[in-house]
Amino acid sequence: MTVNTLYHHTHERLEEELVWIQQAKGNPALFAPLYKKYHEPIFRYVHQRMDDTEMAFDVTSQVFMKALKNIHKYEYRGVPFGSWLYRIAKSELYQAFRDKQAQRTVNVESVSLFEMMDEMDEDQSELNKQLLVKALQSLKEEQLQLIEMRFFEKRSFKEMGEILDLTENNAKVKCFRALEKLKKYFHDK
Amino acid sequence: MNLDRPNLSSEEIKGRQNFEDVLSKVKVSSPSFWQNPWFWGPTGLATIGIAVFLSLNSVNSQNVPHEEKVTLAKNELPKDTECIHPPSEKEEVAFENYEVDPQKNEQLVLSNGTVISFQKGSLQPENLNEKVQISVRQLNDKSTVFLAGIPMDYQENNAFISAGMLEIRGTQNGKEVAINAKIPVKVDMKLTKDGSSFDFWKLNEEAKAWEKYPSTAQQATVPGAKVKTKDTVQSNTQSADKRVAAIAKIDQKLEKCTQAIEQLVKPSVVAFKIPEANHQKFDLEFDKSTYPELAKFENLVFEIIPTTGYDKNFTKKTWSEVKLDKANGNYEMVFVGNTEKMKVAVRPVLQGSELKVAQKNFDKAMTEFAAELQKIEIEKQQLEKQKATYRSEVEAEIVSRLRTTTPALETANVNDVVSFSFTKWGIFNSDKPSPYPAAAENELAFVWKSGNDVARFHRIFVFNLKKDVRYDYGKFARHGLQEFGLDKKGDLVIIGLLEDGTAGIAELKKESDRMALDKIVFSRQQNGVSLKETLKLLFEDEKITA
Repeated sequence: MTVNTLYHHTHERLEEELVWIQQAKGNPALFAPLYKKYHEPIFRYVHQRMDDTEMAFDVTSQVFMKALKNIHKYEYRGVPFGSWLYRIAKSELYQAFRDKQAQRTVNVESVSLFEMMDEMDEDQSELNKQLLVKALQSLKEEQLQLIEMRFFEKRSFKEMGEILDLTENNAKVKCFRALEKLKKYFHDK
Repeated sequence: MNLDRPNLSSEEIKGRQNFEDVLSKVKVSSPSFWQNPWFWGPTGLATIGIAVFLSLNSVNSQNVPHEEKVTLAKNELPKDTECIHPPSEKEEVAFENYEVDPQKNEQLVLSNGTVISFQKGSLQPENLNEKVQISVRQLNDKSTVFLAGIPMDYQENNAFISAGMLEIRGTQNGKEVAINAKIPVKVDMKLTKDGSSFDFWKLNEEAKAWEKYPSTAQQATVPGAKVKTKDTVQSNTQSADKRVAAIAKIDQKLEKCTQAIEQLVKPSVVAFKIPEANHQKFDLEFDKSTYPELAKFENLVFEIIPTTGYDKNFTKKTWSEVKLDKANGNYEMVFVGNTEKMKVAVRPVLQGSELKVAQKNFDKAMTEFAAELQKIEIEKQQLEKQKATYRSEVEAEIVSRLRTTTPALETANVNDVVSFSFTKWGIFNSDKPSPYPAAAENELAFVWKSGNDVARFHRIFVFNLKKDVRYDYGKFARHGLQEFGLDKKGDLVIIGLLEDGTAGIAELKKESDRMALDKIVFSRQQNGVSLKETLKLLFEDEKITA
């Protein structure tokens, strides 16, 4: 499975971000390059989890407002600034679900389902696709999140760990277990 | 669960970026002072006591005038919004620049035949011995008026149809030059249409409104005035040469700025011995006398540099000895086994209290670096701006040098010329108002040719080519986007602007289709094609002088 490499930063890019962050701490207007860089990934993360596009734009704005308000608290931990933003996005998303402003949905492309079937050593048939959709619906939220990040958003285990506050290894193990559960669902049917 | 929902394109998402909006809603604040534990100590409580006492005393005993209290707030208010908003900052309409002697009768003849006459004593600069720079923009077609960002609304519900417009400014060393009220500057402005059915107006830039202005539809000349023809060309040539020299100086300064940026040393986490998350670390005993540079640290561990390539399964093997080594100034851990030996590149990093101090020092160094970098970049931006101004002035002068300088008024139809005089610089316009169309009854969808919805235009301009009029909607306009409407007749060109400056263009030619219209399909402005060029093709208008 190919993994989206956009998230992984070179040392130079991390340091470039650090400069922006320090500048933004002194002058919020200088947060603009970070906003420009992360607006689309954060929006896609939010939109992936809800149906309402307008609401997704609103939640994304909320994420950046919160980040700007709290930028003085940010401490560099050797990972891209984006992981901090994803954590805020996660919290804002669940707040929106709790307030019933939006409904949790999973958006998935057929091609991703076929990739999953390949990973599970199952035939790539239309029937299996329908079965896999049902199997996904049987997962618990935490497991669904892992599958969603890994297979639908093509995130690396490292990035998943940073967003979900898990170690890279733990993210890998939990994702493996979720996949095993899906396989079991397939075999039981 | 949604299967195969259409994805939003990056352009659409970028079209919705609005950092200004986010920024305006956020008041960044440092941690609240009451969150500091020291605040609640005896000193904090004593301070509260004193503050309360003083504030009560102040309220009871003083009558501070209200105005004094609000002085600071007044200073923080934003500047007034200007009424000229070009659709693209990159494609401003350049001024033609001329120099006139305030102590002589002088006449400028513009490329379209407009004559501007200055009588001796008319211009009142600080230094009478220095020349006055006259900057002129002829806005003679809808493209240049549009690109210059001139508002064309009149009163509540009219847009102007223009027969010619002229912007004229006079400065000396960057300062606006006053005009003697008794000796006004006279202008015989060449029109693009028969002026008999047009009125004359001047833009009140403070009130953002066009106001009627006295004029006569007859020719006027200033007796004894010197026509600026070859002399103008020579003086412009000299001025251009000065500007070219100034540009060279700016280039030198820019080079210095670039060098200064290159010489700035960006603090690195390596130098401050700050660890990276998720990188493997080893607590390793080493001989401090062999590595005196590390001897002063107590909480030191060694972090693997993962990019250097090594067998990642080495921890699963059994090693009889692990020691620290240094080669070419770089540290490495040497693992020795019974049959094999392996080297891994490492760097020393701090832990515990020493790490906290290092992090603090790193943050400080990074803040200082960012401030210095910002300072140089601001200087660089200012220089670039100055350079762009000089360059456009030089270009305008070269253009004016190439133009024919023969006065064209002698052969002009008297109805095609409007004469007026002024004692304040500004924008003058021969226009007649045309009412805005009624707002569309049905909600119109804006879509791209690809079928995707247009994210959100923040400004929309509708040109009716038959009437030669432009209607503005959205930001900066009197009419909001919800008031958008279409004339039933005439070929229409619609230009929508996204926040990032990208333009969408739609053409509506079939009048019969307009009645049942439910959506307007926009094409994106082509990459690498300027708005000016796009307009040129749309209007088949060769008069674009920008």
